[in-house]
Amino acid sequence: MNLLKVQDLWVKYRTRRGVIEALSGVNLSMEEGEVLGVVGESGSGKSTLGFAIIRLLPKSTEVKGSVILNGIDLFSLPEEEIRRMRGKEVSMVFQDPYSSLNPVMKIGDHFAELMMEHGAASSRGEAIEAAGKLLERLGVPRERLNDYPHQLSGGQRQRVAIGLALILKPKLVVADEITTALDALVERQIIDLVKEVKRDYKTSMLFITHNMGLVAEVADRVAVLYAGKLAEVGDMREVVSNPLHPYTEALLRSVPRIGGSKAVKPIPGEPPDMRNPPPGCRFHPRCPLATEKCKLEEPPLVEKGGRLVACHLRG
Amino acid sequence: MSRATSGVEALKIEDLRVYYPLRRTLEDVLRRRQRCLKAVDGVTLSVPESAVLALVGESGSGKTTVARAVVGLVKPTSGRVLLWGRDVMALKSGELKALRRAVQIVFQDPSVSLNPRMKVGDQVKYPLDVNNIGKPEERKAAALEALRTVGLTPPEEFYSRYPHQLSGGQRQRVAIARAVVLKPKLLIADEPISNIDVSARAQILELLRGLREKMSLSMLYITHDLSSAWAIADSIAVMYLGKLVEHGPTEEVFSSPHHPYTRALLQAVPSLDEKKPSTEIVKLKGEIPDPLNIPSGCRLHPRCPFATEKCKREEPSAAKVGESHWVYCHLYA
Repeated sequence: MNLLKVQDLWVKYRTRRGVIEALSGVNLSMEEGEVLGVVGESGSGKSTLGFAIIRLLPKSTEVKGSVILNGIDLFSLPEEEIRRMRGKEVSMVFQDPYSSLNPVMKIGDHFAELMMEHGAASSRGEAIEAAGKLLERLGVPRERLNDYPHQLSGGQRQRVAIGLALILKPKLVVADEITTALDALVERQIIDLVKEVKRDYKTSMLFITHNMGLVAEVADRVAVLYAGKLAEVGDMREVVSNPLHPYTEALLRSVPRIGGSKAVKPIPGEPPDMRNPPPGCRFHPRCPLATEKCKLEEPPLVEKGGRLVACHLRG
Repeated sequence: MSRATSGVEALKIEDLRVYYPLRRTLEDVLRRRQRCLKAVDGVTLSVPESAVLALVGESGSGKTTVARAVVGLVKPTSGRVLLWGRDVMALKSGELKALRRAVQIVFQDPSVSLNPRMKVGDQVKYPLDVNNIGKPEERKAAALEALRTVGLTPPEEFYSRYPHQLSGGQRQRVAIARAVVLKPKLLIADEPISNIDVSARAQILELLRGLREKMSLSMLYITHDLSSAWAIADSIAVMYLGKLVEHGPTEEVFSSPHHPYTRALLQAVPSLDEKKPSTEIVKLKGEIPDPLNIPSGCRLHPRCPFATEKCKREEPSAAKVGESHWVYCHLYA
C-alpha cells in the first residue's frame, strides 16, 4: 500500500481579483521511507500541494479530489480528527521557522505542549527529556530548551522546527522551502541534516523547493509542477540526466553549473497568469518545441520508461 | 567616464572602512565610549575597465555596504573610493555629480526600489529629468530605448504600466532600464537576482551579460549565489565579516579555492551532479557571529577546523597563491 496517494486534486483560491486555480488534477503517490521532491516556480502550486496534504488550506478554498494517507482519506475527516493527526501522522516544516514557533514561548514548552496534547508524554519533564535527546541529535544543545525563539540563531530555529515536526514520529513530513531563507553555509548544514534524518529515521518526506540542485541532493524521486499541473515525475537521477519534459529540460539548463558552461539558457517568457491559464499544454507559450496540437489539446500524464510525463512530443 | 583611458581601473577601493555608530546605552555614556558596528573593515579591491568583479559573501559580510559606499549612499569612515582614478571624496560637487552619473546601481528588490505609484516609463525617464539631460521628447525616446534594451517590448506598451502590473522579473528589468538610461560605465548590481523567481533569474543574468558586452560596462556584481558569480564574473572577491578572505580570477578561485571559508562556501552549493569534491571537505562550526563581537585575529578562527594559536592572535595578511590570486589565511603565509 502507498503511504500517500493524491488523487485528482484540484485547488481553487477565491481572491478579490478572480479565481486562481492553483492545482488542476494532480495525481501522486509516495512509498514509505521515500523522499519525494516537488519542484516548481512560484505559482506552480507546489506549496498549495503541501498545504493540501496537511489540510491547512484556508476555509474559502475550493478543493476537489482526495488525499489518502496510510489508507485514510484526509478530506473526509472532521476538523478535530485532522488536528489529532497533524504532527502525529503528518507534519510540516516551513520556510520561515517563526511560522511554527511562538515568540513568547520557550523552546521546551513548544515540545511539551505538542507532546502532551498528543499523549506522547505524560509530564512536562518527560517531554523535555525526549525533546532534549532529539535536539541534540539534530545539532542543537539541550540548554536551548530554556530559550525563547529569538535567542536562537536562524539555523538553530530551523533545526528546532524540524525537531517539532519529527518528535511525534509522523509517517510523513512536508518540508516547504525549508532552506530558502537561510544563508549558504547554514543551508548546507540543514541539507546535511535532512539527509541524516532520512537515513536514521527513515522518515518519508515531501520536499518542496524551487531549487533543482537541492532536490537532486535529497530526493529519491522528483515531481515537476508547472502552472498547477504535473509535467514530469520520475527517479531523481534519471530526470536530471535525461529530462523528458521540455520544461524540466529548460529548468535544468537555466541554472549555471559551477565549472560548466557560463552561458545560461533562460526559459523565455513569463509563468502564466493562473486566473487564466493557457489552453492546451500550459507550457506551450514558452516551449521551443510547441506544435499546433500543444496549443489545443491538453497532454495527459502518461508512463514512459518508468517515468510519468505530460507532453505530446515526449510522451 | 567616457574619457577613461585604458589601464585605469573603473573602480578602486582602498582600505575602505564603514563603521555604523550604535545608539549609546547608559553603560556606553558612563564608560564614555561609542560602540560601532564594523560593517566593512579594511577592504581593498578593484574592477578593471570592462570587467566584472563578483563580491561574494553571506548576509552580514558587508558586501552590500561596499556597494552603498561606492555609489555614495553611505559615507566611508576611512579609506578611499576611486572612480577611474579619481578620489570621490576629493572632488568638487559638480565634478562628483558628473562622475556619479557614470555609476549606477540596481538593488536587490525591485518592489522596494521602484515607486508603486509612478508609471514604469516615467521612472526610467526620471534620472534624465533629474540630471536635466535633453529635451522632454528626447528623454521619453531615451526611456523607450532603455525599456527596449532590457527586453520589455513593445516599450510603448510597458511605458505606461505600473510596477504592480509586472512580474518580479519584469520589475527588475525596469530597475535595470532606469540604471542604464544614463549610459553608465560602471554598474553596481546588488543581489539583482536573489528576490525573483527561478526562471526569471536566468533571464536577468543573461540580460546583464548582454548589457555588459553591448555597453562595455564594468560591473561590481554582489551576490551570495556562487553559481551566478561563476556565470557572470571575471574575478571573484570573497568577504567574511567585513573583510576579504580571498580574491582572484573566477576560474582559478573556483577550481582551486584556498581559504577554508571559500572552500566551505563552494562545497555548500547544492549540486545536480553527484558530488565528488576536489578538495577535502571543510566543515565550519556554527554560524556567522554577531558583527558587534568580531573575533580576534583571523575572524574565522572560532569556526575554522584548521585554526591554530596564531590564528587567534594575529590577523592574516595577504598571501599570493597564484597569478593575481590572493588569500588572507595563515595556512598559506
